[in-house]
Amino acid sequence: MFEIGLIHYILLATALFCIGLLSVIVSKHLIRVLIGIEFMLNAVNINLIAFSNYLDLGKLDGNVMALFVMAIGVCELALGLAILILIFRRTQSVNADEQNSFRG
Amino acid sequence: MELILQNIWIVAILPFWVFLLIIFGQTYIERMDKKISMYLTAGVTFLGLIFSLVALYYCLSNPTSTLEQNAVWLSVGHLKFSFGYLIDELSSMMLCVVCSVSLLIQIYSHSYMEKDDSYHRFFAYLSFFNFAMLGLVLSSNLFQTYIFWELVGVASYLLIGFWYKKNAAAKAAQKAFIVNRIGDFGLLLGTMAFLYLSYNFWFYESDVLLGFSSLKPAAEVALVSTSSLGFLVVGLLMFLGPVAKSAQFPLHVWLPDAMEGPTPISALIHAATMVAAGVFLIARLYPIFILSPQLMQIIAYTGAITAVLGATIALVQYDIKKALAYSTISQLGFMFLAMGVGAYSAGLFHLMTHAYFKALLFLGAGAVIHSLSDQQDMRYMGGLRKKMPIVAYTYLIGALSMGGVFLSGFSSKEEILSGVLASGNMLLFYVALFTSGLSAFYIFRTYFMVFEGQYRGSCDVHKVSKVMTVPLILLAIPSAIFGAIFSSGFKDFITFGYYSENHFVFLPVISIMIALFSVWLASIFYWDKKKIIDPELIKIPFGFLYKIFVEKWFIEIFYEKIVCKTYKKIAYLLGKFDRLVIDNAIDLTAKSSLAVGQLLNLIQKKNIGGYVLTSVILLVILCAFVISMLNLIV
Amino acid sequence: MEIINFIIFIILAGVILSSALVAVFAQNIVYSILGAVVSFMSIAGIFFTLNADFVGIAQIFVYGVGVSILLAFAIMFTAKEQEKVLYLANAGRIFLGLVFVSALFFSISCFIAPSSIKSNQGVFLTKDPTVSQIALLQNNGTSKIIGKRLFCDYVLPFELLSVLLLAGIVGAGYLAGKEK
Repeated sequence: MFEIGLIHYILLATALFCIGLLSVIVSKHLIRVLIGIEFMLNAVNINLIAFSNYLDLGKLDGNVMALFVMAIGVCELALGLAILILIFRRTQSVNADEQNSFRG
Repeated sequence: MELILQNIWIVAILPFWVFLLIIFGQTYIERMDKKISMYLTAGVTFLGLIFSLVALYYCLSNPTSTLEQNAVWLSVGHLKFSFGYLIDELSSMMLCVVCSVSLLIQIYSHSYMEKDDSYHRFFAYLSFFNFAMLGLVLSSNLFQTYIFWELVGVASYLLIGFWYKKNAAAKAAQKAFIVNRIGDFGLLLGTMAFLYLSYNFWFYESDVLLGFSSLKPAAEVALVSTSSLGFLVVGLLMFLGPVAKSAQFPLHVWLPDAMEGPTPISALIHAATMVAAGVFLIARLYPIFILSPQLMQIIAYTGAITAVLGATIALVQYDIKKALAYSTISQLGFMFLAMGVGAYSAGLFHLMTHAYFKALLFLGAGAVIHSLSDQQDMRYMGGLRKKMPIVAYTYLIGALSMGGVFLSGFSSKEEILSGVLASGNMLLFYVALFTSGLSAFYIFRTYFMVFEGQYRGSCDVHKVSKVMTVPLILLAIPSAIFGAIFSSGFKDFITFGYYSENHFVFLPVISIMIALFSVWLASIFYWDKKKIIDPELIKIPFGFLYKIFVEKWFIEIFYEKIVCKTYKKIAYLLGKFDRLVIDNAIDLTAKSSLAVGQLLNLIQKKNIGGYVLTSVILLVILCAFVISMLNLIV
Repeated sequence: MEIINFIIFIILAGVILSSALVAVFAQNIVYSILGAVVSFMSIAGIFFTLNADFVGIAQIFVYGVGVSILLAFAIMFTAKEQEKVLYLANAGRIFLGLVFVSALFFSISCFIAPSSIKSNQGVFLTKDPTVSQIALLQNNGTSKIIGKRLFCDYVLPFELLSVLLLAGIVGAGYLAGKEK
């Protein structure tokens, strides 16, 4: 009854993913959107590590993939923040709803 | 002679070329002598007459064979429509009649239309009519006949409305065409129904679809493939065509108005040839009609009603052309009566003689009108016998013929009356006898009012030119003698199936007595010399009848007030329906697509969150779909 | 023994989810970042319970330290006096978002949940890895195995990743460093 199995970690990862998705949908501040994206990536990581633990403990492929995801996620976050700063310099606001013109 | 017979179809095609020539060669023709149009038209018709005489000779010498040639014109699936000609006794007789009457009228028209501006157009239209009528007579199958039927209607429209600037003429032309259209529609429906019913026969047995030579077995096939009521309906629909074309009740209303056209046209089309096309078609379709006794009854009674109708209205007309028009309606009723009771050859014999004497009467009236500078009211004529003796005497010959006193009209009416008597229907016989008495009365009324007595008019009487009188004389000859020559031979020549020799010795005696009595009656009313009773006084005791006759039995009023009014109301309502319902429905589709577009615009948010939300919504829908497919919700 | 595992898992999961919710719904952006950092650290804890020590430490370093500093600097650069507090989006979007995201959660869980709690087969093992395996790991550490994996089997993605990181550094530096 109190055993923790793979299913619990998957459910946790799904919940975290959904919360990240909610952040992207709901928030007006651009930084919050990026935080949501990071949540989604972390949820994926949890999933990968959980699968690697329960199914693949000899080879740890899941861990390696999780490392890769982490690295790429950080890279994307850095670039995203750089673009955010550019947007702020141009329009002096970080309101996600106001960024709807691609002119210029 | 073989060459002529092989190419008999050019009799119909040559007038069409002349029509095109005159229409397209207007610039050249105007530079030449004015008579060139007449020479072209009459020349072609004369050639046609020679050819038709050759054809007639051929038919006389080979009694049972027919000449037929067909070419497949339109082949659609299993339906093969052909074009061709058929020379048998009926068509050769019609060819001769049409060509001869046409020729004489064309010569006459030169003098009549000489001062008219549209002289060439007249002859062009005359050629076109010639082409259509001859094509009608020559056609070998019902389909081709329908095409030429319509063309004859078009020619009639063009010619009635010849002086199109006159409002009355334009309206009359329209009326003629539309009433004819009703008949054409019936004919088309009947033809299609007949084709459908007898299709098995045409598919397996015959080359020429709806060909006249194989109509008899086809009709029998059609009879067995449907109930007798269905066959009656088909026959009735087909009968509607001749009803309209030959101005029978109830579609007779166009013929009196058609007198707005020039008098030669009235003579040619509405007395001699086009209206005879209806009788011709009945003769062609006789194998079909004869299989349904009820239909024959309907034909006979229609003819009888029309005969009485025409005769009674003709009694009270003051316009000479209208009187003659109603007399045409009456005589056509006679012909239909004859066809209806089974006296096939009698009806066609009367057709032939009627063509000649009616054309004669019309041309004579035309000569009178022309010399009185377009005065048509008989009350202003009189005593013209002294001024134009040839016209008067030829008109007298025509009147004697038509009244059935003696001469050819008498012979043909005899045949009809004996045919009616032989059929046993006494009611129809008494009606026919009464109407023939009436016809003698009214035609002599016109003769006495126009040619005898004192001249009641006010304008000068011009001389009648030779170009007009010669055709009159030439027409008087057949009116006089054809009866005697052909009465016995005709029955052998044109017959349908069997006929019984009717020898009712007393019948000629009775009809001559009735005719002479009517002539005497007319003379005491209208011949100034022997006038005993003033016709005006008669109107008082018979005032009620007089009113009915003058108002044309209230038929036209009925049509105008009730039929047309309801039709216009229905059209108005339908128009409103179209605008309110149908247009709005179409607008609705346009507006609804606009609304959907605007609805879809709502999901186009311009912010990031909105787009992601849309994706999530669709993802959820997709997952729900997949879950329901896989039945994962345990 | 099992129950301690369970309690640790519940506590960690609860912290992750609640701090994530704080990160989403807090009105002050700094509180939002705080929630995010706490969440990341707890995720590292989850990794440790899953016998992934290397990745767990990497998570602490990368996310818990690096990303939080990055986000803090970003806020510093884009803060404005009037707009320190940025509200959430309009109510319609919040409502629809909540509805559909929870629907998504439930539908995904429908894919993985049925009959798995009962059966212990295939993907849905609830059995822990065997003792010997764990002993092996704990003696050697996962770093060795991961190292072997990275440099023998996954060397190509590794090199590409380094190129990507270079590109990211150069790009971010160029983009953000450009002053008009």
